[in-house]
Amino acid sequence: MKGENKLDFSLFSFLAVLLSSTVAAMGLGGGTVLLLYLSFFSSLTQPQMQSVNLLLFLPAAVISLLIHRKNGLIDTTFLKPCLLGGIIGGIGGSLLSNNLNLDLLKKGFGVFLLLIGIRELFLSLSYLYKNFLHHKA
Amino acid sequence: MLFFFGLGIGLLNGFFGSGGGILAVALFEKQGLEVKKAHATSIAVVLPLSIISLVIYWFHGNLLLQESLPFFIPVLLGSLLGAWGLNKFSAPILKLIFSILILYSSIKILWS
Repeated sequence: MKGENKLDFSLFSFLAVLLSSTVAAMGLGGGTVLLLYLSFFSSLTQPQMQSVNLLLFLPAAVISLLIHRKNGLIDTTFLKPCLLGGIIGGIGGSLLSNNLNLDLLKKGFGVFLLLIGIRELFLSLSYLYKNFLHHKA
Repeated sequence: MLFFFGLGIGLLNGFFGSGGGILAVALFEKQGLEVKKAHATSIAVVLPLSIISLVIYWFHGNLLLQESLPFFIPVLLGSLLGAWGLNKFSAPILKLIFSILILYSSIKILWS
């Protein structure tokens, strides 16, 4: 099975990454879409998929940060203390993820998706409902 | 307080390889940061954390660097498309479609 853990570059995977990056740039959770694509259409293990997601986030993030910095949108008073905790959390989370049983991590990912899905469903429905009431009034 | 926010964001980002940004935006907005600043600052937090996480994934042999590099092209194209499309499509309806897709997938993963 080890030889199958590959990420093939094809028209289909090209389009899937294109779509998820488009969605990500629109602030709609593109990272989740890419992970879903990899879950159902690749034979990668859960940590391998997560590393692809983290890696492909980098170029898009660098470009948008350069633009945001130019526009003065980065709040450094929030940034510094957050980064300090973030580094510790990031190391802890990654170590845990890379050493956990693969099936357990996959199930955990399923629960994580379920929570995100419920939150997004609630947020979009409440926004559409408010807009509907606004139009009626 | 912000230190603990960071801790949570880092944990989520490292553990699932995503979701740190969602949590960061939600927390920053609750702290009174305006929406655009919350989004921009969340990327500034999550980017260095992602690099740190990637180093750990790499140490564990879980980083597919060579195979991932060609995908930088669609990522950059998609980012441009998304920035362009931001004002052209109804975000809440897209959000609704994605939330249903995510819910369906989560049930499929949990049941398998």
